[in-house]
Amino acid sequence: MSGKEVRLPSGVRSAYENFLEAFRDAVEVAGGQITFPDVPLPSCFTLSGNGMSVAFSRCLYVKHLPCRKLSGSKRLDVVVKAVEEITRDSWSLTKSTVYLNYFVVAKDSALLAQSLHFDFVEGGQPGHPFFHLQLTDEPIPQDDLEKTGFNLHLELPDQPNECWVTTRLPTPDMTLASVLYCLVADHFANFFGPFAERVQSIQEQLPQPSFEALKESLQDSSLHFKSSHWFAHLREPTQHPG
Amino acid sequence: MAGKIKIVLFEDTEQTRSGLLEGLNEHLKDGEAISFGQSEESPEDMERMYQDRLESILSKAPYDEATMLVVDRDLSKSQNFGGLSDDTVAAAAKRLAIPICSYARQQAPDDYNWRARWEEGRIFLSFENDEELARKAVLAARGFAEIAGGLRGVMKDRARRSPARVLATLLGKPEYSDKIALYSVGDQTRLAEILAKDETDRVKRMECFLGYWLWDSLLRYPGLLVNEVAAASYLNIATVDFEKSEVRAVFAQALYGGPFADSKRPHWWRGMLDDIVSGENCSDGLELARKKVSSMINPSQCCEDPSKPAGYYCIISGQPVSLENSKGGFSWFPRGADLTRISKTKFDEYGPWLGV
Repeated sequence: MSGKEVRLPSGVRSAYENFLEAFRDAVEVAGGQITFPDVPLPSCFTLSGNGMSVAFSRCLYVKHLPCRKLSGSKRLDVVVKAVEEITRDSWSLTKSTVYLNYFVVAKDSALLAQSLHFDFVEGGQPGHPFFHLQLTDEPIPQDDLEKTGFNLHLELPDQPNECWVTTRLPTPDMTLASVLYCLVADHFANFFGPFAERVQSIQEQLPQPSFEALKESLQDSSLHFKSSHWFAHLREPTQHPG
Repeated sequence: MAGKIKIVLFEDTEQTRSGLLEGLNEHLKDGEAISFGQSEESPEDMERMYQDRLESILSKAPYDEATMLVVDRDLSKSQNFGGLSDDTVAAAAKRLAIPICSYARQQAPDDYNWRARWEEGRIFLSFENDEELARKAVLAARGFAEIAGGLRGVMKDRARRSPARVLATLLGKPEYSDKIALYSVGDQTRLAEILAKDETDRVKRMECFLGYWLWDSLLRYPGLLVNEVAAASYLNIATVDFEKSEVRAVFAQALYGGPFADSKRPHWWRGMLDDIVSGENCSDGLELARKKVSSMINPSQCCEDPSKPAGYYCIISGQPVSLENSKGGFSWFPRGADLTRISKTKFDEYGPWLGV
C-alpha cells in the first residue's frame, strides 16, 4: 500500500500548494530563479505507515540567492528537499526533515558550501533535541538534485569535517514552511513583508507539528535552562503536588 | 442573471439561417435570437471599412445590447458585405466588447475543429448538427449573461477587484481565488486586454474577459476544474466506468454548476473531489467507488501503458496519462493546470516546439 498516491482534503493540499506558490513568486519577484522537478504536487503525497499516514516529498532549486560576500563571477544557489509525514486521522505533522544544500557556483561547477537539515519526529529521538538542526557534509542525492534541474558539476569539500556530523542544535519548530519562510527573510529581505503577509493565512491550514512533550515542558516551568525543554521527551513528567 | 439575453446571428445562407434561428429561439426561453440583416447606411458609410461599418451597425437598434454574436465562419455571400468573414465580425465585436461565438457548419473542416480546441479570445463551436449547435451557442450566451449579471455587484467591492478574486466570487468559490490567479500567470494576451480597458465600458470589457478566461483556460486545462476524462483519471477510475450514473452519483456534490456548465459535457471541482474521497477515508476515487458502488469498477489506465494507473490528462490527445509517461510544466500551460500533461507519444510527435 505504501508509495501509492493518495488524495488529501483539498485544504491540506492547497495549503502546501499556496505556500510553495507564494515562495516561488517571492523568489522570482526578487530576481531569483526557482525550479521544481516535473512532478505535480498531487503526486508528492503517497501512502505510508500501513496506510495510516501520508508521506510528502518535494525538492526545489533556487538560483541566485543574493550574497554580498561572493565575487561577481560566482553565485549562491540552494537546493531544498523536504520529507514530511502527516497522520491521516488528524492531519497533523508527525515527522519533518528538511535538507538544505548551499552551493557556490562558478561557471559549470557547484561547490557544496554548506549542508544541513532540520529534523523533527513526533515523540522525539534518543539523544536528539526535539526540534534540531544538524550540520553535515552530505549532499542531497544526485538523482534528487538532477530532477530539480541542477545540472552542474558537483564538487564536495576536500576535507570533510567529521565534527559536523554530531552537532545538533536545538531549534524552534522548523518544518518546510518555516524553512522557506526563513530563506525569504534571510536572502530576499526587501520582499519579505509582502510574502509574510501573503502566507500568514496559510499557516493554520498547514499540518501542524505534533509535539506534546515539548509543549507540556514549556508550560510546566520556565525557570531552568531553556535548552532542557528540547529534551523533554527524554525526561519523566514532573509530578505536581496534590 | 442579467436582463434578457439577445443573440445576433450572422449567417449568409437563407435556409440555414431560418433553421438555426429557430433552434436558438427554442433554447432561448429567456431571450431572443435575431438575424443580422439589412441596415440603413448612407452611401458614405458604405465606403468605410467593414469593421467600422459593423461596429456602427451593431451599436444601434435592433442589434445594440447584444449578449453574444453567433457567427458563421464563411459569410462571403452576405448582402452588402461581400467576402465577409468571421474574423472581421470578431474585430468589430472586440471593439464593442461583445462576446463572439463562431461556427463552421459545413462538414468537419479539420482546421476549424482544431481552432475550437486551441484558440483563445473567442468561442469556436465544432459542428455536429444544427440542434446541437444551437444548444451550445445558447449555453455560451447564457454563460456570458450569468457573468454579466453577477459582475456589477462584485465590482462594487474594491477589495475584490483582482480578476481572480472577481471570478472566484462570481463562481461562488472565493476560497479558490489563489488557484484561479494561477491561471493568469504568463498570459500576455489577457494582460493586454486588461490594460487596454477604458473606464466607460470597463465592466462590459470585464464580462468579456472573464467569460473567455473561464472558457479558454479554467474549463479547458484540467487543474482547478476537471472534465470527464480528467476527473476519471484523477480519481483513478476507468473512463468508461466513470460514465456510469451510479459512479457519477458518488461525486455529484463536486459537479461544476457555474457559467458555461454543460450537462452533456460536465466538469467537476477537483478540490471537492478530493474532499469527497478523503472524507470517506479513502486513498482515491477507485477505492471509494468500489466501496459505494461495485467492486467491479476498474482503475484508470494510462494511454501509453495500460498497466499503469493514469492520474493526469493529455491535453493534446484528450486521454488519461500517467506521470511517468508524460511531460508537464510547459510555459504555455496555465500554472494552475497541474493535472494537464502531454503524453510521451504526442511530445515526441511535436518535438521541441512544445517547449517554446
